[in-house]
Amino acid sequence: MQYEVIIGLEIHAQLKTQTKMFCADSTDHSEIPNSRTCPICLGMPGTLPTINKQAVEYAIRAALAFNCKINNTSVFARKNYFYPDLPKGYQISQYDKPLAEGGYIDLPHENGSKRIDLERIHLEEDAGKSIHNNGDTTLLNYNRCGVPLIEIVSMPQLSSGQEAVQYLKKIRQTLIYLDVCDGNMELGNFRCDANISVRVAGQAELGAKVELKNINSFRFVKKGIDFEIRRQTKLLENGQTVQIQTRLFDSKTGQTYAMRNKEQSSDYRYFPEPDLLPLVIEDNFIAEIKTSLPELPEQKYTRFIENYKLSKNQATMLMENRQCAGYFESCVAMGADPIILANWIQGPVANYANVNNIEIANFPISAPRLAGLIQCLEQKKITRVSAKAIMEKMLKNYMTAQQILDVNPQYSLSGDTEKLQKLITHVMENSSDLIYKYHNGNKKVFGAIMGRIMQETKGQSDPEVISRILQQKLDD
Amino acid sequence: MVDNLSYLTIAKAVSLLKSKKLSSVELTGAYLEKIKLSQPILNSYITILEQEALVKAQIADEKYSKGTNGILEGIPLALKDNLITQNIRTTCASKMLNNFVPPYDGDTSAKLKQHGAVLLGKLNMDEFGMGSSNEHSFFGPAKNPFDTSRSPGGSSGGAASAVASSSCMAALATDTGGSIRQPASFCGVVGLRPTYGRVSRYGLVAFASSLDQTGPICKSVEDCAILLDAISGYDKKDATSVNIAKADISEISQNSAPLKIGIPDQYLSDDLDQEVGESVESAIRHLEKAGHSIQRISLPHSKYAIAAYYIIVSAEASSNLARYDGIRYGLNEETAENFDQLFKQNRNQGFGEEVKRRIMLGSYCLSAGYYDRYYSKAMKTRQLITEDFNTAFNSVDIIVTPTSPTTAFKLQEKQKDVLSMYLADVYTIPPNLAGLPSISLPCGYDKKGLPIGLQMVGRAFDESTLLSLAQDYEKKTKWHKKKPEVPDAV
Repeated sequence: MQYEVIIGLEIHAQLKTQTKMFCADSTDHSEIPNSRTCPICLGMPGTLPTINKQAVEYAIRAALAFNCKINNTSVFARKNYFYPDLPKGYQISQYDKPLAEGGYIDLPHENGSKRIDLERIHLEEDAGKSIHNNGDTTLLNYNRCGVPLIEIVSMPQLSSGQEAVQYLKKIRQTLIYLDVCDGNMELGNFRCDANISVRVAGQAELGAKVELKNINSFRFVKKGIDFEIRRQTKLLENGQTVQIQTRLFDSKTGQTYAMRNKEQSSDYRYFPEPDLLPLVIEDNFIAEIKTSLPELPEQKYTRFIENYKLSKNQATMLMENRQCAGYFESCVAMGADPIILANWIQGPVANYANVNNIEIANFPISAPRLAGLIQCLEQKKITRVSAKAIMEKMLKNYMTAQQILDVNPQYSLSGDTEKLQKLITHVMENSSDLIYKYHNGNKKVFGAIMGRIMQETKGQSDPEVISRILQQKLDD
Repeated sequence: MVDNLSYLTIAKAVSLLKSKKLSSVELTGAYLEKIKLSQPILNSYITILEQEALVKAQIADEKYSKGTNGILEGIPLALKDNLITQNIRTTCASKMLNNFVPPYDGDTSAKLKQHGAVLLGKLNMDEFGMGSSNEHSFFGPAKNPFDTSRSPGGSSGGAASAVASSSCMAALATDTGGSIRQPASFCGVVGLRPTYGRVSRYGLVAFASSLDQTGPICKSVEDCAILLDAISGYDKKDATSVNIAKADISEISQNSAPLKIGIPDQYLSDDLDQEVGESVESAIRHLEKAGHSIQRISLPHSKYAIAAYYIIVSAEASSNLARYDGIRYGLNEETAENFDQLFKQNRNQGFGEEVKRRIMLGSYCLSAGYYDRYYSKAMKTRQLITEDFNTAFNSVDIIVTPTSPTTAFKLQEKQKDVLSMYLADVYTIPPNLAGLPSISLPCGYDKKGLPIGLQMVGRAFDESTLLSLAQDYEKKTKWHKKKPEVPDAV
C-alpha cells in the first residue's frame, strides 16, 4: 500500500524590535531573569497594552516578502488559557482577522520548483519561560513575555522532513534578509510546530493530525517528522488508527511522545481584545514598506549568476546571508574580479571564518584591501599561494597587498627570474629519469617535473611562467 | 475651623484656600474627623490614609503660600479602590488583592497628584465593580447615609456614601453599567460618567474593558465639571482613550440655551417605582418650563440591553480576571501539588460569589460552539442599541430618564434574587453600551426620605451640553441641598 504524507508548519519568529509588542521593555530576553519586565507585560491590574508600530512594520515587511495579502483592518484577539508563564491568563494574538493572508514560497525541486502556499501571517506576543527544576520547583522567567512574534502558518502541502527543513531554511533566510528576525533557533527566536498526517495514497480525507512540538533545530525537525511519518505509517500498516494528538520530540531518543489527546485540548475562548482598537493599515503605509524592501535571496541568487557569471554553488554560498553578499559586492565595486573573488571567498576567506568561528561578513580585511589583493591575482602579479601568504600579513596589519608586495618582492611573479631559472635547472639536473622519459615520448611527465619545481618554489611562482621556462629548457 | 462640611464644594473650598481663609490642614483634618465618626457606621472606606493626607495637606498649604498651587491643591478627595494608586494598597474590595500594593500609578491618580489633591483614602465597592448594592465587598457593605439599613447602591457604594456623608469632598469612581450614577442616585449626590475614551483607563482595574470608565461623584454638577476637566485627556498608555479636545466647562454656569430633550417611551415601564416615576415626570415638566422642548423618542432595542450587557461584561470579565492566579501578586495559598490545583485554590479562596458567577457565565458565553449564540449576538445587539441612540440624537440634544427604577433598597433585600438586582441598572446600561456620557443628579425624595435620581444622557464627547443642562436644573431646584443625618458612632 502506498502512503501519502501531509505536513503543515506553524513558525514562530521573534521580531527584531527594540521593545516588546505591547510595552516599552527591551526584547533582550537572554538578560538576567525578570530584569526585562514591567507592570504591563507582567499583566498587573489596571495596566493596558499599546501596539508597537515597529513590530507591525516588520510583520508587514515579512508578509510582503512572502507575497501575502495585507488586510487593511486586522483584529487582535485574546487567546485564553491558564499557565504560570502567561501573566494575564491570555495571550494577545490575532484570530479570525489576521494581519496577512495567502502568500507562498517556492522551493527548489527536482523538476523545477514546488510552491508552498501560506495560510496566514499574524502578530502576537510571546509567553514567559518556565524552568522546571528537579520536579519539585518551577522557576519563572518573564523576560520573554510580550516579545513580538509573527506566526507563519503554511498550508498542509509539505511532504517530507527534508522538504519541511528546506521550507524552514528558506523562510528563516528571508526573515534574516529582511532584518526582521535574527533567526536564532537556540534562543527560540525562530521555532516551529509541525502538523503531520499520513493517509493511504488517493484517499480523499486527511489522516488524523498529530501536532509535533519542541523541535528547535533543523536536525530535530527532520528527525522528528521522519519519526512521526514512520510511526504513523506503521500504525496504518498494522490496521491501527492514528490518534489525534499533540506530541513532543525528545532529542535524546529521537522519538516522539504523546503530550495530550484531542479530548484534553484547550478551548481558547478567543474574542476580540477590547483594550486595543482594530489595527488599521493604510495602503500607502504598505506601499511605503514595499518600496523599502531589500533584495530578497532569490532575486540576489539570480542576479549573482547573471551579472557575475558565478556558479550556482558560488551564488548560493555568497547569498547565504545579506552581509556576506554585501561584502562580496563591496569588493566587486572596489575593482575585484567577481569570479576570482568568489573563489577566494569560498576558499581562504571561508576557511579563515570557519577556523575563527566568525561570519564571512566579519572577515577582518576590509573590502578595498581584499579587492586590492584580488586585483594582484587577476593581474598575475602573484600566485594563489603567495596571495595566501600576503593575506596572512594583511590580517596582522593595515597594509594593502601592493604595499606588502613592494616590501617583499619574493612574492612577486616578475620578481626574480634569474633565481627561478637556476632553480629550474637545479630540479632538472635532479630529474634526469623524468627528462629521459620525456624525450622518449612520454610527454605526460611534464606535469611531474612541473610538480617538483613548484614544490621547490613553495608555490610562490606562477605555474604559467615555470611552464614556459621549462618548455624552453626541454626543447633546447 | 470648618463648621459645615456638608455644603462645602470644591469650587468654594479652592477659593477659601486661595484667600487663606482656610488651610488644607484644617480642611483635611475636618474630613478625617468626620471619617472617624462615619466609618464605623457607613463603612465607606477600605483604606484611610490619615498620615499621608495630613502630610500632603501641609505641602498644599505651602504651595498656596508660594503661589505654586495646582487646580485641586489641598482638596481632600478619595478614590474608589479599583483605581490604582502607587504604593497605596488597591484591593478592588477583593480578598484576592487584600494585600496588593501597586508599584505604579494609574493615570487618574497621577493626574490628581499633579493637580495637588489630598488623598483621604480608598473607597468601598462591590468586588471588582461587580454588583449594584456594594454587598459584594470582601470588607462588608458600605451603608446608605439616608438610611443605614439600606444599600448605598453599587458598585461605587463607598464613593457615593462618602460624598453624601461629607466623608470626603468628592470622589472618583468607575462606571461599567451604572456604577457611578446608580449609587449617586441612591445617595442624593451627583455622578458623572464621561464618554468612553474621555478618561484614560490606565490604572482602572479592568472589569469589562469595553465599558469601564472613570468619573466623579460630587456634591454638585460644578464639582463634577471641575474633576472631569482634571482627569480627562488623551493618554498614549490607553489605546482606547480618544485624542480629542477636552470638554469645555468654562460656560456651564451660564443659563443653558433652550435644548431639545428626548424622553424614551421605553423608559416609563412597569418596573418603574411610582414615586420615582412621578419625580422624574415633574423634573421633565420643570425642564419644559425652563424653556426646553420635550419630545418622545424611541430606543426600541433598549429592552435587550441588560441581556446583551451581562453577556459582554461577563465575557470580558472572565478574561480580565484570569490574571489573578496568585503567582506574581495577590492571594497565594502556596500549598498546592501542581499549577492547576494552585490556581483553583487561589481563585476559589480569593474571589467572592458574584465574581465567580460572572467568570463562569462569561467563560461559557465564549466557549467553542456558544460564542456565536451569545457573545457575537450580544455585540450585534450592542450595535443596534448604539444606532438607536444615534438616530435619537439626530432630533434631540439630551435624553432624560430616571437613573434607577427604585430608590435605595434594603441591604440583603435582593441578594437572593440576582436578576432583580441586575434590573437596578436598566436605565444606566443602554447609554453605556453606546459609550455615551451621562449624569445622575437628585430630582426628589420618596416618602421614606430616600433620594431619587434623574439621568441625563448626552451625545458622545458633548459633556459640555450635558453639564450645562444639569447645572441649570440644579440651580433652579433644591434637591441637592438636602443632606442626610448620619447618626454618630459614639
